[in-house]
Amino acid sequence: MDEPINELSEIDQKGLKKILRDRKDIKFLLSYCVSCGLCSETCFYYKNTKDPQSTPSYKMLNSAGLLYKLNSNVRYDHLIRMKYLIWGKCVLCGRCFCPMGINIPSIIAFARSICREHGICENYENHPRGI
Amino acid sequence: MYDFLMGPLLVISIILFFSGIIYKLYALIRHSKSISLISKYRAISSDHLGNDGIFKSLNLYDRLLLSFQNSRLKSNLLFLLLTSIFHLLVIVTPIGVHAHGILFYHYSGISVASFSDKIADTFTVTIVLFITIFLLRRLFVLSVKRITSLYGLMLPIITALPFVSGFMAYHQVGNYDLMISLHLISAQVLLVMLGWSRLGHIMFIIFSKIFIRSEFSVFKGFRQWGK
Repeated sequence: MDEPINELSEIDQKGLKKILRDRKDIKFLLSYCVSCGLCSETCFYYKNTKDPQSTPSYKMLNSAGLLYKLNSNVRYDHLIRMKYLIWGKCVLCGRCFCPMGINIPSIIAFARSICREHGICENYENHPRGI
Repeated sequence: MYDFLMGPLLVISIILFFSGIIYKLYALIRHSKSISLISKYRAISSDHLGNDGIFKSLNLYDRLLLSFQNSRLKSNLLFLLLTSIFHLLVIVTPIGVHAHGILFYHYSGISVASFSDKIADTFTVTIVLFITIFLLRRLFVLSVKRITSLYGLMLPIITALPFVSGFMAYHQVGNYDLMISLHLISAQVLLVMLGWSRLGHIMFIIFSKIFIRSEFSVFKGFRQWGK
């Protein structure tokens, strides 16, 4: 089920914009990614599944990166789709290595916190994996 | 045209290049945080460079060796070799080209060492070949393709342009005046982008190796990008 677990159904665009504006470091680090793809080899999820959507940089660019890209046009379905990436394909083990030194887990954790604020997170009542 | 490109425009691009580097370094340090005492001790269990005692006992060669052994690039030796040679050549070739040396002497009166035109040609062809490989990798390796935007595809092309136009101008392929103008414009665009775009990683990777404490760093890092 792709329903948020609380009553929220609209995104607080103003609040979201403020959060994104406050975390300039995340925006800066996202702009620092050179898309070399070397982080993929360090992700156990990618190594086991070979799913190109599970490379750390893909998860980073399509979660927090997408929020910065969309800015005030974030919709609920964006966050729901994001959930499958940042919870379904990442366990925040912190083993991903970026040659540029980008702290990828901190960026994914930031995207998770935004999703949680909008009532989107793991729901273990639906599935043992929570997604 | 030539005078304008070699005069005011060159000065502007050099200023933009240095200001970009200074701004980025400032931003990197501003958007990073010092390693806290807790993570410092936590690092010891998972990261042997986190242990100051062991770290101190290593000399620079051992640290470089350890950094390589821990690096994930080790599992991708071909890519490590390609990127290392490519980045080295991209820095060395423009500095070492004889014509650039003459120009530099003309403007500053300082004579710099340069290599023969044959070596410069070989280096240039190698660079263009490597850029083609990187471009193909971005287009066809699925895990890289998924994270590459149009802008990401433009970056290798922007890097290749000054080398290709310089090569063509030297060998008098096509109209010389056009080629040399193209060479100057593309090189200045590249210079500005080195300061302000993600192409600057060629310099900032050094800072991450110094500042970030991790099993891949050569020095004892004390910062971490991101908060």
